[in-house]
Amino acid sequence: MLREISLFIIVSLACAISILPLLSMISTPIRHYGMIGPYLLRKDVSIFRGVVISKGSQVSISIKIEMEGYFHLRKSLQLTRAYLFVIPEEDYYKKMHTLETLFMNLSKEEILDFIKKISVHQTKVVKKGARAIEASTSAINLQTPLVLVLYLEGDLLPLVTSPYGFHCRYTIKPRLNTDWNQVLRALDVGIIGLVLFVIGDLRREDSWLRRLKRYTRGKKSHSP
Amino acid sequence: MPNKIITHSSYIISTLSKPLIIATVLLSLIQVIFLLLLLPNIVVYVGPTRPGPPTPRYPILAPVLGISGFLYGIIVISLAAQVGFELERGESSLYLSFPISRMSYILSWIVSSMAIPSLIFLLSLLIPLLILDPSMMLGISGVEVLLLLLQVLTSGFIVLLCSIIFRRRSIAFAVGLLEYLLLPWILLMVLSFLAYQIYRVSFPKESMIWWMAFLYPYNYFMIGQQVGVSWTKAVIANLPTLIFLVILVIVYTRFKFEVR
Repeated sequence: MLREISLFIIVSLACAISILPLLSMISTPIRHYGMIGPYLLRKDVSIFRGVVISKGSQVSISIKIEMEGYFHLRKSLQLTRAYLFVIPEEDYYKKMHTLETLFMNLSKEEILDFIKKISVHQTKVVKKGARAIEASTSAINLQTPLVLVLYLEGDLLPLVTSPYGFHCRYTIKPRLNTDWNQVLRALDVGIIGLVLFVIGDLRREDSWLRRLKRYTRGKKSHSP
Repeated sequence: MPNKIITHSSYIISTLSKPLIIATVLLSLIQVIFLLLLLPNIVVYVGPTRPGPPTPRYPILAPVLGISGFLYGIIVISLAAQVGFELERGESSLYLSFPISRMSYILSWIVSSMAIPSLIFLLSLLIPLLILDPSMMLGISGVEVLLLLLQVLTSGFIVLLCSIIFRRRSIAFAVGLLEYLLLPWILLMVLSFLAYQIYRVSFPKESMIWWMAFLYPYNYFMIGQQVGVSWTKAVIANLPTLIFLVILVIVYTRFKFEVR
């Protein structure tokens, strides 16, 4: 029985090892749709709170974020500057409260500087048509939970007076990073499986290894 | 006695080796491939921002266990029904003419039809996790795996009991398929129909699905998670049922089991 179980360990391990190199190439996107209202809103600056991205494991994962947004407005939105910020969740909850209280009294530059300071990544948002915007980031290492925040600057009066929100789609492309530790762990499992297989096989009467030995001996004696 | 059980279990496995190895290798391949490919999506959570501690996410392994768990259930049911085939053909009387007790005979079938496939199922889940991140072995919803194991073992013991009572593989296999695959969904469909048409309440409600916890703890947890059912309730309800079935198999084997 030990032979069968250890053989199974080796087969499973072989499957896992053969897929491991592919993991850094494969990325199945996770999509999040939502209708969101502005978190902080002024005639000239607006901040939209996006989504939170976290991971429930210690494996190294890098993510690429794509954002597509659509404003339900009659008029076209005049944007001068727009950014998508990636902020660690802890900093977000600690510091955004300060921004919330000071928001109406700060200048555009001060608000932008404040968010830049606490963000770990920022990317420019580009306008796509009259009412749509989009942004995409490069690969970000996901270690701690991250919050996405959208910063818009320009003539936002249509947004202030509009009863509708902002329709947004976030596409997160996670990618698993493989490292040498995983290879070493696979090697450990492989050695354990192999040892168990040899022990289990040699204890059996119909040992495959003994049969292999006999076969190779027979081949050797027949060869000139 | 344990040596005899292990020897006979090994013999059973060697007789079942071809279909067992094919089925388990298939199961392993599916499980390993699915787990690895879905892992980034399983471990990464994207959701709306909300203050406070993150809410626990269930089900984490559902995309993987949905397929592999189904195969695992079918493997256990078909192996447990195989006892009926041996009893039907009268091969068991041949084995029992050797110094092996009826209890050892049935225990060896429990080992080879339930313990070994369960071990293989766990290994195929644990090996990729062990390679990628050992901390995930317990953290990544061991609850789901535990509930699935309990559910499949419950069905396995029902099928085993049918096999030794009726001594027919076909009856035992049919009972297994009915109990494991059809019955929960037929009852759920009837209940959801009644809930909507007669009581005009949204389905599922915990008061309507509590019965599932006794035989189908995994299904109960998966369906009821929206209404906040706890996994401990599923385990507490299922464990006595499983223990009762095990005792029933042992008592029947000891006092009533006959080999013709």
